[in-house]
Amino acid sequence: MYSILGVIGTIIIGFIVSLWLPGLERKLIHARVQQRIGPPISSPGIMAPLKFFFKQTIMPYSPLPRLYNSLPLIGLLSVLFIFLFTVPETYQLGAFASIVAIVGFLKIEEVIYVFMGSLSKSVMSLRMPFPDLAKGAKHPNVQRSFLEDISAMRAFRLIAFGSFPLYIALFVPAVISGSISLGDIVAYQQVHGPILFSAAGVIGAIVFFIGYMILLNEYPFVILKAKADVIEGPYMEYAAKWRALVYIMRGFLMFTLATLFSVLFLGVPPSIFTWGILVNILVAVLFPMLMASFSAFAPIFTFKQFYPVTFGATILGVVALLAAFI
Amino acid sequence: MKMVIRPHHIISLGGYIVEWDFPYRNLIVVNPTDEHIKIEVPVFDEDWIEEHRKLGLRITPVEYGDNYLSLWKREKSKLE
Amino acid sequence: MDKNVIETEITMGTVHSAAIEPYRVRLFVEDEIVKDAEITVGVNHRGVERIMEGLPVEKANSLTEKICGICSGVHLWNSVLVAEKGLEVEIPERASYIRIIVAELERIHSHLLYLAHGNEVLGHETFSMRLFYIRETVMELLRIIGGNRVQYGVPIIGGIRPRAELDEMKVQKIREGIDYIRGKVKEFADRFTSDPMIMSRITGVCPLNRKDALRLAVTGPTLRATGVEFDTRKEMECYDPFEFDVITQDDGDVKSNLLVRVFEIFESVKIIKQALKNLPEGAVVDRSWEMQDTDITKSYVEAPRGTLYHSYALEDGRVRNVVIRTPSIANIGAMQYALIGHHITDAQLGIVQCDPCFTCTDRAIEIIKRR
Repeated sequence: MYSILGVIGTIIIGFIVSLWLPGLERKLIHARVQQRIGPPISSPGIMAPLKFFFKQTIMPYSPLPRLYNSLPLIGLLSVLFIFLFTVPETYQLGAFASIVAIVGFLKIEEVIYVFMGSLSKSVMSLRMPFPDLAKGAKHPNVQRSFLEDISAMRAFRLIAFGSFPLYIALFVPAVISGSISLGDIVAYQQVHGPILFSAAGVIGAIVFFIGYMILLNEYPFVILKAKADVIEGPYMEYAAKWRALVYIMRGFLMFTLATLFSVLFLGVPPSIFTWGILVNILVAVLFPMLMASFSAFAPIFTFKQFYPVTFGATILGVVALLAAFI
Repeated sequence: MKMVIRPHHIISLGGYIVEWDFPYRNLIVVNPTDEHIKIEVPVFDEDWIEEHRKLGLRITPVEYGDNYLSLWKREKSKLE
Repeated sequence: MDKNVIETEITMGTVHSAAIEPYRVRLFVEDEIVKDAEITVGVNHRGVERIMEGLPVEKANSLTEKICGICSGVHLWNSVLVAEKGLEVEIPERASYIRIIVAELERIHSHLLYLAHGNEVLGHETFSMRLFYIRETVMELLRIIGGNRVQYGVPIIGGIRPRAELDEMKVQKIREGIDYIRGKVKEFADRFTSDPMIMSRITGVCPLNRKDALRLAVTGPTLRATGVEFDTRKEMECYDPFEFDVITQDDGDVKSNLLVRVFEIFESVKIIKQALKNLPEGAVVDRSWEMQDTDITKSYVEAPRGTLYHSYALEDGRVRNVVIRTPSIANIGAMQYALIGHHITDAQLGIVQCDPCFTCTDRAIEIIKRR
C-alpha cells in the first residue's frame, strides 16, 4: 500500500513538473535569446492543453480516424510506463525495470510517428481544392502523396538511425555496473558514486543529451516536423483534446528522459519519500533549458547534416562503451 | 511557373510578358471551355501564343497602336 | 525531364508555414530529392491594372502604391516617373535626392525582411527575430519621413509631397538610424557567415546558373548573385551623382543570394549618406506642369527585387493601356529550375532565395463571369 502510494505520488509530482517544462523552454530561453517577451510561463504546457480540452473535437481526415486519435494516448502510456519503471518501488518487477524494457517502450513512442504520419491526410497538400491536374499541367500521371507521408518515411528513417545515440548512451551505465537492471545500476552508483563522474560517464552523458534532442524532435533535429516542408508533420490533423494529449505527451517525455538520466548517470531514482526527487526535478528543468540554448542557435538539419551528426554521436557512444569496458 | 485560368474567365497578361523581345503590347486570353487551363508564365516569345491556342484558349494580341480597352470589352462581350 | 525517375508528387500550398504569401508548388521527387517542380501563382489576383484603366493619373499613381506592401514606394515612384517622362516634367534636384533616400531606405527594409524570412525558412528563428528587430529602425525612419510605415507616398508628379521635406531633425535621425543599421547588419553578417551549421545548409544549395538566369530574364539581386553585373540604378540619370558598387557573387546559390543582399544594404547606406551630405537646397515640388495627352511611355526602376517596369499612356488626364511588370515574375519562374536535384526541405528555401513577392506578382486582370 505504502509503495503504491509512493508510485502514484511520484507520477503526480512528475506530471505536474512536466507541465511547466515547455513553458520554461520557450519563455526563459527561446524568448530571452530572441529578445522578445515570449508567452506566459504556464501557457505552452498548462493553459494551451487546458484550452484544447474545452474545444470542439473535429474528426481528423484520416482513413482510420479513431486509431489516429488514440495514438497520442498510446504514446503517453508508453512514456508513463518508462517513468513508472524508473521509480524505485517498481524495481522488484525485474525484467520490466531494465534498460531493455525501456528501449522497447521508447521504440513504441518512435513507431507511433510512422502511424501518425501515414494516417494523417490534412488539407495542407493534396486535399487543398486546387486544380493541380488541369490541362497544361506538368506530369499529370505521377503518383501523388500527402505531406504527412514524407513525415512517416522520415520517422521510419529516424527509427533506423536517429535513436542510435540515445540507445548506446543507455547501455553505458549498464556496462559499467555490469547489469541491465535499473535497481542494480542505482545500487552500483550508491556504492561507487555517480557514473557521470567517470570518463565513460561524461562521454555517455553528452551522447545521451544528443539522443534526447533527437528523440524530442527539437531544433536542429526537427526534420520529422520541419516547418520548411512538412509543417507539423504527423501532428497536423490533431485537434482539441487529442492535440492537448500530444502536448502533454511531449512535456512528460521531457521529464521522463531527464529522470532516466538521473537514474542511469547520477544514481538518483525519483521517489517522493526522498529528497532525491529534487535532483530529478533539477535535471528535468536543466535539460530543456540546455536544449533550448542549443536549439535557439541552430537551423533545421536536412539529412545531409543529420547523418554526419548522428554518425558522430554514435561513434562517440561507442567510444563511451569502450571506455566503460576498460 | 504556371497560372490557372478558370472556366469562362478572361485574363489580360500585360504584366506577365517579358517585353524586351516581344512584338505585342498585351495579350487578352480567354478560357471559353468548361475546364481549368494552366498557362505558362512569364511569356517570352511569340510561339507561346500558338502553343496555348492548342490548349483551347482564345488569345487576342494587342498591338502598340490598338485600343486595348475596346479589344478587351469586345472579348468580354463575346464570352458573355 | 525523364518521367521514369519521378517517384511521387508532393504538393504544398496555397497555405504553408514557410510561405508568407499564397502560391502552389508541386514537387516531383524521388527519395526526397526534387526532380522537377511546378510553381503556380495567380491565387491572389487583384487586377490593379484594370482598375487603373481610365482613372485620373494622380489617383492611378496612388493606387500603384497598394500593389505591394514591401516595395510600395518604388511602385509609386516608377508610376510617377512614367507620367513625368510623358509630360516632360523636370523635378527639383532636392526632390530627386529625397526620392532616392526613400528608395534606398526601402531597399534596406526589404532586404532585411528577406534575410529575416530566409532565416525563418532555414529554421533559425533567433536570427529571424533579431533581423526583424533591426528592421524596425528603418520602418521608423520611413514613418518619420512619410508619416506612415508601409505606404509613405513620397513622390508626386513634379517632385515630392511637401510633408516628406527633410528638416535638420529628420536628417539627424536618418543619419543615426542608418549608422545603427550598418553596425548591426555587419555584426549579423560576421556571425552568420562564421556559423558552420548555417553555411552547411546554404552553401551550394539550389544554385541558378548564369545562362539560365539570363535566358529566363531574371533580374535584380538574384541575377547579380549569379555573377552578372547589371543594376538598373546605373542606367538611371538620377543616380549619377552617387558613387556605389554593383554587388555580385558567383554561385547563384542561397548563400550568394543572401550575401548579395547583405552587401547591398551597405551600398544603400553609402548612397543615403552621400545624399544627406550633398542634399541641395530649394523647393521640393514644381507644380507648373500642364496636363496633355501622351503616347505609351515606359519607365524602368531598380526595385529591391530587380528591374520594375511601369508603362501607360495619358488621355484627357486619365491613364490608358497600363502594363506593370514586376521583377518577381521572372525570378520565381526561374527558381523552378534551381530546385532540381535538391532535398525537399531545401525546396522552399530555394524558392525563397529569389525574394519572391507574390503580392507584386498577382496582378493579373481577371474578370469572373458567373455562369
